[in-house]
Amino acid sequence: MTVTDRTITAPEETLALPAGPAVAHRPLGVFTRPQGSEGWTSWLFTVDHKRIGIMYGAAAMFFFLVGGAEALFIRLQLATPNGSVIGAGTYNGVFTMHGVTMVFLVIMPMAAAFANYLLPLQVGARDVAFPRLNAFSFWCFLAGGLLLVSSIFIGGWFQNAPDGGWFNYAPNSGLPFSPSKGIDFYAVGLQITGIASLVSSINLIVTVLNMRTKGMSFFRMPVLTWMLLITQFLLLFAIPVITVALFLLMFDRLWDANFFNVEAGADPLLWQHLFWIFGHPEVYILILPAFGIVSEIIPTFSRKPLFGYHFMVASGIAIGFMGWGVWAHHMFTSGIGPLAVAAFSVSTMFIAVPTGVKILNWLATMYRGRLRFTTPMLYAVGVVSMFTIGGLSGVTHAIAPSDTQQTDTYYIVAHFHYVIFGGALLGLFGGFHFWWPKAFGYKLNEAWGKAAFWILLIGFNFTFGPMHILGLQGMSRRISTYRADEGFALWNMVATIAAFVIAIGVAMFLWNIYASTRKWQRAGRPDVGPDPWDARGLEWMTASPVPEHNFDSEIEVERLDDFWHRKYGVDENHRVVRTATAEEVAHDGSNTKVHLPSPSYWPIVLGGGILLVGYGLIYNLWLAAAGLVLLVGAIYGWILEPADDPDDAGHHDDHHDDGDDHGDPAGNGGPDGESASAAAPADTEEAATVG
Amino acid sequence: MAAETPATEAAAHAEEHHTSTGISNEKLAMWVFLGSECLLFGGLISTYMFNKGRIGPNDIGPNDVFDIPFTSVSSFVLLMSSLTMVFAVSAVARGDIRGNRIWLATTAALGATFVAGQVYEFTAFYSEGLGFTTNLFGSAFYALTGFHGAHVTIGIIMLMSLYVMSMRGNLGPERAETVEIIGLYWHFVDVVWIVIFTIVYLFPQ
Amino acid sequence: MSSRLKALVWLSSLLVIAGTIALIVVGIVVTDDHPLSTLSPVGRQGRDIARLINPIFIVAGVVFFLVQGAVLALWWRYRVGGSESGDGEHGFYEDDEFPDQIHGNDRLEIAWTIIPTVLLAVISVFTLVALFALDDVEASEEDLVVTVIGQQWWWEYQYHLDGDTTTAPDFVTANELVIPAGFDVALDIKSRDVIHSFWIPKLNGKRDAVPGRSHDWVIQADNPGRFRGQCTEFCGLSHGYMKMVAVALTPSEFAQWRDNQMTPASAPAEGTAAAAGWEVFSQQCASCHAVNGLTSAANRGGAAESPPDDWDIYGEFNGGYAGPVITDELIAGAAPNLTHLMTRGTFAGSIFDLYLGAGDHIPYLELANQGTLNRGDLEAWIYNAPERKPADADGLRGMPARTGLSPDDIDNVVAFLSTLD
Repeated sequence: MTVTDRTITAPEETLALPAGPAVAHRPLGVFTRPQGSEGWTSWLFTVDHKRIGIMYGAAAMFFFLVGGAEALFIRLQLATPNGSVIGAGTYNGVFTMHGVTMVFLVIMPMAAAFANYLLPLQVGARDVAFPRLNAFSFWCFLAGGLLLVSSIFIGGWFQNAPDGGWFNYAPNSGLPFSPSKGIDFYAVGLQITGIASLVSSINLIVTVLNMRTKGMSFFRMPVLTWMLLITQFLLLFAIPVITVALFLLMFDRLWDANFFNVEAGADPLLWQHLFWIFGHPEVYILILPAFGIVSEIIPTFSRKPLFGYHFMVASGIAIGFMGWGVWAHHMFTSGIGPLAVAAFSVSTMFIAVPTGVKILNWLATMYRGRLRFTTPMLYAVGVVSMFTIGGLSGVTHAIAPSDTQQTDTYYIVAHFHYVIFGGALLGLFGGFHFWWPKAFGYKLNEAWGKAAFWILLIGFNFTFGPMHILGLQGMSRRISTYRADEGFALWNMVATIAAFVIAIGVAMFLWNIYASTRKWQRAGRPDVGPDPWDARGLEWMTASPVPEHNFDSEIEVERLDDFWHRKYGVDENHRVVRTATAEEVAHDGSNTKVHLPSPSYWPIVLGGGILLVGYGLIYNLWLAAAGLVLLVGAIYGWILEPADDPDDAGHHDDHHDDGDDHGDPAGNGGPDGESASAAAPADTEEAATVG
Repeated sequence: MAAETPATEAAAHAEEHHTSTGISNEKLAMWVFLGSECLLFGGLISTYMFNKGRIGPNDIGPNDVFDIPFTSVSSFVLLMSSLTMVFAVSAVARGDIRGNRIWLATTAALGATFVAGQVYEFTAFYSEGLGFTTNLFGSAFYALTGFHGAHVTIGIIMLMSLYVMSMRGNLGPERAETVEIIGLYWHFVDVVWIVIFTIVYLFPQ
Repeated sequence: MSSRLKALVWLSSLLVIAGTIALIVVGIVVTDDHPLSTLSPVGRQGRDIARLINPIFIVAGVVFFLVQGAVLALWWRYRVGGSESGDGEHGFYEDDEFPDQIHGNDRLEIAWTIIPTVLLAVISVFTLVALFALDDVEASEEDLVVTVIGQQWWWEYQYHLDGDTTTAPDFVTANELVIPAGFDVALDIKSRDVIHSFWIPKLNGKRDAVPGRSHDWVIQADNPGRFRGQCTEFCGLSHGYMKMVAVALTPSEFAQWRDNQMTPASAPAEGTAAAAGWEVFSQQCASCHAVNGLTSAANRGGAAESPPDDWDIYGEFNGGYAGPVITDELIAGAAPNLTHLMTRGTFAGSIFDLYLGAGDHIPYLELANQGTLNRGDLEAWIYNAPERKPADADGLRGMPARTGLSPDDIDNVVAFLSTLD
């Protein structure tokens, strides 16, 4: 009798998250749920969307350093003609892993960090729809990421790393041409991260569709919520396509199937179609979250509402739809026939329209605003400026004939780095600065933040700007070396030097996190207040850091930017006047009667099972069988575990009185707070919530 | 994996819990998941269509192995299981625990019959010389129908889990929606089979 | 430093940076002499592409300056100072002054949706016109079609003087594609293993070589000259080392070159170093490398005297693809036909010059007579090719090392190769 059939009556305030049964029959030992929200183990078993978001962010930063190191190796190898820093074989592994890491293990999870942390807050919900599945998504992603990155080390330095490029075209990915385990790691690792993305997208879609607070109609949702929602739909439909492709590839490599076997009559273009049907929506999966972040930051620091909210939403939706009709522009030289080339050339050109609308709306938002160039604002404006460059170069290769000159050259490398680094990554970094006080309770240092931004921006432009020139001068992508008489030496050297400038900028960004944390701790952890930037979204309407239960009571929303309108009204002269302070409006997190789901052992166990299955598929099917046993066991444990901790019936250990902590700004976080080490950013949240 | 467990996640409280759309989280999640599944099967079906003709003139192909009458019967069995699934859902909704149990078992049995038919079919094809690695048609055919068979199998496991829950007295009318959600999955798998059957077996080769 | 001054410093340094970049870019376009450059086309197709894209670069440049200018202007005009503190008595903003709360303007939105749409519609018309024109073969000499075959990591050219690619080629060469200047030359691009991409940037864009498929492509050079190329689809280990050259000759020179290519090689005189080299070659090299007239027709790769029996088995279901059977063996079995090695300026996937000083100042047809052989690279290549160009020779790709050869053997092989002109 492990699944309870009794329910308690709902708490006084109807909250977005279902209240679990308070009284459960005492279950068998292993089926209890973990308790508490302190100590490092609580992070392993947490189902709190905010902690999961923070873990996504921390993991993405780790992988960012891995991918960045790979980028530096690329640049070192190409700094001079006939480079000999790393050999051709290693080089192929390095650039493949750089691409795979940055796309799947950095930008996507970084966006997932914001989606997890902010989506429930922005729609006024208590948590995501399925908290345990959310935890599983993270552990599953981490399993896939670690599996992929481990390929660098297993069996020797880059001996078994994927070496077919992130696009991994068949038949070069087949066993005869890539006999190492690298492509197996690619196929299995990306399937695992794909499961994570898929589960996460279902969870977040249901959250946004179903768990909006009272009055939060679709057109009262912040643009970030919209962009993240569109991103989740793109993931929902794109991930299964790449999953099919990866399955087929895995069948070919592991079990001698014939999907991409040209000898048996296969057409390698099948892979290209499957990959790019996924791959182009993937581009928008990478960029739309950053668009959302920029749409939050610019209005805040312009002191104006976002210009053309409905058009911003509509252009996002338009991008989401049109993104499915342009995939073959990656295949203009593949031989798909002139009619297909013509059709995709035209469709690609017109996807520039909704993107342009976004740029112009951001500029119009800034127009006649009162612009405060804080660090987040610098990053946001940096996105507007840099993404424009990427967008314009994108139009130049939407033109199919000219794409035949540009594709697979450094011009393309320049283009997509302006989109993904200059657009997505700068936006996400801006988001870090913007929401840092919300998540951790203190701001990052502005001086360091700005300095890091400028160093990054300069390094970025001098790394990737010259690549436009290199590409037009005929330098191909993915070549491990070039001849001295091809004339590529100058700009490659410039790009290499500038790449190290980027590294300095990243180091400054990380130092800023460390230094700001230390400073805040030494100053006695002063309270930053619920709304440090005078912002607009519901996430600012609760204490910082956000208490585990998010909001003390359900919020009823009456309009777009409801929180802002609670702070400001209009006087008889139609001038904006303050009607309340943020502190008056915001919840202080003191409601301790909120029932929250207990932590769970099973998400991480399930992730571990998947990791074993992954290695097993690559190396030994017995290992996979063991993983499968663990996996099935975890599913049953998951199903059979009680909805709540039985020892804890009646009161709820997992949201102890952290609200009081924030109600008392002078409080130092209590005696436990002092003992909690907070050197790492992730730890500070923990320290801050320890009461 | 995602959608197989919502049955237990707070399903008992679904009725009393307000959602923005009025559809419970679990049911909505299943719908969303099935949307994703459409693309999965879409990818596999496209691959099959792309590859099925890419075999040599003397290679073993669809016309050499397919036994349309046999597969029609097993398709009919699977279709009937959708009907019994409907009966199971309506039984549990009106509190007919025993009826629900019977229909769940019938549905699972029909599904198992279909899977058994597929296993027989695979064995027969294999003995006729069409292996997974024989040619492009073989790989594509087994991958597509095998994926579908795996889906049916997972569905059977879920139905049997419901049956066990019912036996232990945990599947009353308050959990009607759990049965309904698994029913959604079951109907989807059936509908996909109709598409696969039409495209793989009935389309002119 | 006052915040205004600070902003001025930032603004001006940004402008300086932007201006420098713009100057550099313009300078490059004007003075471009890079061997692989797409900016200075010398062939009809390349020129058509440049003619299409150059105005679009200008339009994009205008939009670029408008947007960046707008960003800087908005920044300059509407910024308020003191972003560091941000904790005034009213919260983050130190005052409670508000700009007009403009929520949008539908007319404006519609305008800036329609204007770029129209602009792009115009561009797409030009694009489509250019796109279909590029596939035309306007002025071809005779019926020459060259089957271009990519394999790891070099290019083979099979010349079909009658244009019939389903029959055996008239002659076969490697790495350096020789064409008559002033004529459109039809290419039929294929691959023996993975996907490659054929690209001579000064003449035309690139076209993928996809195994199992046959792709048509056209190149043309206005004037005689040598034009570099690079495989541009990632094709495995030595992708970076897979280069090629297109050589345009005057029509009469081309005829002379063609006639020479069709001549088989003759055996070196007895007792010479070349004869000793042929001995080594026939044992060590001839299982892959063909030398017409010397190695037997059964050798795989290169110019088979007649097509193999199963020449067309893929044609039936691969969109008419007709080519050699692709087998695992062919990964190793195909090697450059060396019948007229000495007439080429480069070897080993065009990564090494066959003649010192790249033979730049010697007329192409005189390379073999007047050039000074680049013995260093050639001998090192024969001795241990994978060391000079990464190859997975154990995995049946690339040229295996011949470290068993003595220095004398190598000298003799070079002497033999020197006779192949």
